[in-house]
Amino acid sequence: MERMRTAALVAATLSMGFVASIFVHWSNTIMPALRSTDDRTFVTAFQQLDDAIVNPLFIGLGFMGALLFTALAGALQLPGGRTRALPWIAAALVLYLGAFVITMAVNEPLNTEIRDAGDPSRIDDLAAVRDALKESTWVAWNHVRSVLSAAAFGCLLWALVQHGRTLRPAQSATGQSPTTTQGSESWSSPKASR
Amino acid sequence: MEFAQGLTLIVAAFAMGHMAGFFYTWSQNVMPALSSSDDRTFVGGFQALDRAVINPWFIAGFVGAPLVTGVAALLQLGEDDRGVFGWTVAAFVLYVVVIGITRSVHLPLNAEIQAAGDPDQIADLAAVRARFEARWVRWNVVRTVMCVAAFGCLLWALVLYGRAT
Repeated sequence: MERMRTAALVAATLSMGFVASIFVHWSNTIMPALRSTDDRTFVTAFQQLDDAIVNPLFIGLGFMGALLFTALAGALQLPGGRTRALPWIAAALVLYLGAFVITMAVNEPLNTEIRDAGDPSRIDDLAAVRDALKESTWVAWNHVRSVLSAAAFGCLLWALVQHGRTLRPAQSATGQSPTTTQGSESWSSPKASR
Repeated sequence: MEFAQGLTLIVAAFAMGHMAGFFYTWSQNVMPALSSSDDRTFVGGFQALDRAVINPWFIAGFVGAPLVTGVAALLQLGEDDRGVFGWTVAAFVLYVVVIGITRSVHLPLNAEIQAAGDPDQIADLAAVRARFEARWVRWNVVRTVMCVAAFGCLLWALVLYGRAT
């Protein structure tokens, strides 16, 4: 059980790190690069990028995985009233839910616009298709989901340390719950949570 | 001291996750997209991306990840009963390999494709692409795996650190 708890939390942190980083790189690299290109390259490249990111590895382990693993990691902390890591996992879940909702409500509908425009070589008005993405709106909300998921990632890193603390009694607990005494914080400063 | 140990480990893991995701984005998102594009979009698109990648956030991550990981490892010296030191050093070594691959494979190839100039002026776009693509992609997969492994080592180091403190 202890191993499952640890594995779920590590998996959640890994996938959250990936998703956060992917959003950040769309904000910092991909969209700035596309901005400087002509309409044909913009539409073609965006369609290809959108198509490539919708793969099982990213959607399964990344985009959905971050949500599911984080929820699972939180749920596994519930039995026995383990309260050290739980608040940080819950915070990560809420932050990432924000990023998830933004994706479904803003970015994905805009992606669909440009996706449905079809083969760029058969589009008469490439500029209109480009406008349909509402580049500045897309980018602004991508910044927001980047920040939210990066914050969720930070929370999970800290949750890993807190979870490690519940493992303290030297070896694998055989049934008896480890010391989860709250209040006996040997930690030097609460600011370390960042 | 304990505060500094925890903080550097967290920052190192954060930066390493950022870099692992960065290489992963290139492996799983950017290059597959470019590979299914025509030669002009491939060359023009890569040139634009290569120019955009040189931004402060990227440089901070690329240089910062090994620096902070190194410091985190140093701060664990003498605490070898924890096991944190070993995992942090492993992450550092893996990332040094990533830097080595980047310097010897990717940076020269990037310079070459930039030197080819404006895609509209290139006579043989297919040749420019052919000299570049396969080698770049293959080694990018290698550095992605290395960097993900380094990230995993640091996550485990965080658990062990929590257990010991």
